Amino acid sequence: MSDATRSAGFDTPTTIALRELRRSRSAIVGAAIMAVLLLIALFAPLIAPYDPIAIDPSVSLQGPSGRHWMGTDDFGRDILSRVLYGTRISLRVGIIAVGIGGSIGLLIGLAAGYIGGWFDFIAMRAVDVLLSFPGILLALLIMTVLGPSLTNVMIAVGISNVPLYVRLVRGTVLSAKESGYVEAARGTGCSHLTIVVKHIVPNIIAPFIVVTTLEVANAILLSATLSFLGMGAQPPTPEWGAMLNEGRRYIRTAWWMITFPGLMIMLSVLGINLLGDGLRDALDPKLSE
Amino acid sequence: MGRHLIRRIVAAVPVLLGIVTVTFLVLHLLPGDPATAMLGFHATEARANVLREELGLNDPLPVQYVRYIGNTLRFDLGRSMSKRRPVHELIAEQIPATVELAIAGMGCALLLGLVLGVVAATHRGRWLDTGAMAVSLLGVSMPSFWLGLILILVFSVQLRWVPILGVGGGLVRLILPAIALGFRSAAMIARLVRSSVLEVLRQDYVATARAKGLTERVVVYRHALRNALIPVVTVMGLQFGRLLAGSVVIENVFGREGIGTLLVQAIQVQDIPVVQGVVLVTGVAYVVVNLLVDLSYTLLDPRVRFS
Repeated sequence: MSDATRSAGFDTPTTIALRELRRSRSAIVGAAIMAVLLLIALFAPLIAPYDPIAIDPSVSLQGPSGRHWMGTDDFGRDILSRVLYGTRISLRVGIIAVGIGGSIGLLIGLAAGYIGGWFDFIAMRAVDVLLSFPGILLALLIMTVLGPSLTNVMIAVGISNVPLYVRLVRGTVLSAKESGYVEAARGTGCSHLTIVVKHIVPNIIAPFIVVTTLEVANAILLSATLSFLGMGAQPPTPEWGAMLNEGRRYIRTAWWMITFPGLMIMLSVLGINLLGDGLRDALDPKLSE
Repeated sequence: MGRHLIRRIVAAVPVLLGIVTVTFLVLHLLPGDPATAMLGFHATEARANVLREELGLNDPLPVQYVRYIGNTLRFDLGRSMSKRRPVHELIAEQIPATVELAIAGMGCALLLGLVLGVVAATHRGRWLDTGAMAVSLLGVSMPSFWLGLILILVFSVQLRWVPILGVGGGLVRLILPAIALGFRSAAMIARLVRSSVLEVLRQDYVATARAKGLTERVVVYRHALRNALIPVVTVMGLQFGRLLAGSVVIENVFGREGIGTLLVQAIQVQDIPVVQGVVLVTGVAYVVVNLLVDLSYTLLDPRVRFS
């Protein structure tokens, strides 16, 4: 904020957004959940009581106890340690997948909206087609081509996110392109690159951040689903969806194997949704209408 | 009205063609030679050659593309490599189970969504509103396959009320999968119904209905809810498509038959013609359902028809 602005008592959009965010109770709860999960992800090796892939047949399928707070699985591995390490994997998968989808979608959306013409027409028809596949189906199709692995899950979930971003970015570019300040920039002889980077992209940031936050939740859900179906993380990786897949064989005898990984997925998605809703109200009220 | 109908149908044609193109490309995007990829790397060259000939992979790509479109229009989706049967037969056999599950899931989603939404709207700001919206928030955050597992754990393993997997007959067999499948949609419908009913309750004609001395129940159910349902119908189309796709996972959790189970099995053994067929049929169904909902929306709301 410049001194002149501050002395005149004006608030910048960032200050207003932060104030709105602090007022939203759900955003604070969401941010708190996410802060805890991020800390768990960062410090998993320090806080996990056991090695998440160390096998100990002498303690297999034990219920929650003082030694193993969330019990053990069929290989005697500590569920709590696996769940804690799983936070690291799921958040990474969610963030990288959305990073892939968001960056490709941003580039295509910017180009389609700004260049227009044939490129826009073809890009939008492709988006229409891809959006007509439900996300899980598109991801499964991509996984068929790529084969099962956690890296491929990130790519599949990322690519299935691209159409959503293209549509969002293109729409914002189209309206920004017609605005007075872009006309003015053009009039002063700014290059296309300068106009896009300095004048159009800042307009996209607010809806982009909101959608990206909410999409991380969807990416975590989708990647857990793919791992649950045996197409993502492979044993012994402590990924929540894969853990649920392993646990369902013991549903009659070991309820803890299917309870805790699922709770973690729900908690992370809930945290992101609450935070995303708060961000949406603070940054881009139009999106919530 | 007629023109709008024709315009919507014509607009769906390129999307349908795009879906056919995407499923066609899957085979050609497989790493390396598609025949070897489908047979596994231990396959002999002779066997790969036979498969290449069988699938017409030796022809130029445009020829293969035109043939694929022609075959698709004749409902010829190729032959399953693992089951040695025409793909359209396999899909036709499995569709009823999936549609049954999707309809049951939709019923569940509507019932639960409407009740939660109306209760929340009519008790705005009170604990019932907070409770209903908390349930809805949990619904959108909960993975459907995990809810399925928890339902099995509670109602089949602990309470023994419902048979554990897809065994047993009739409606009982459908209850748990339908709840697991429909809960997320119910949560979304509940949010929509709540805001929609609140919006309608502010309208003048509702005030008039109240002024006439009608009971609150009649005002809400006969006057407000009917109009509040219009946006719900639009969302139902999208939700039905999602439920069709979501059944892939739920069928797997409950060990049910259906095109979802067929798809997952086909992916595991790289039975590409089946994968292409199932994705094609589901994608087309998704577009057709949305088109039908769009058209029904036009009938429900004259403003769309004449705009």
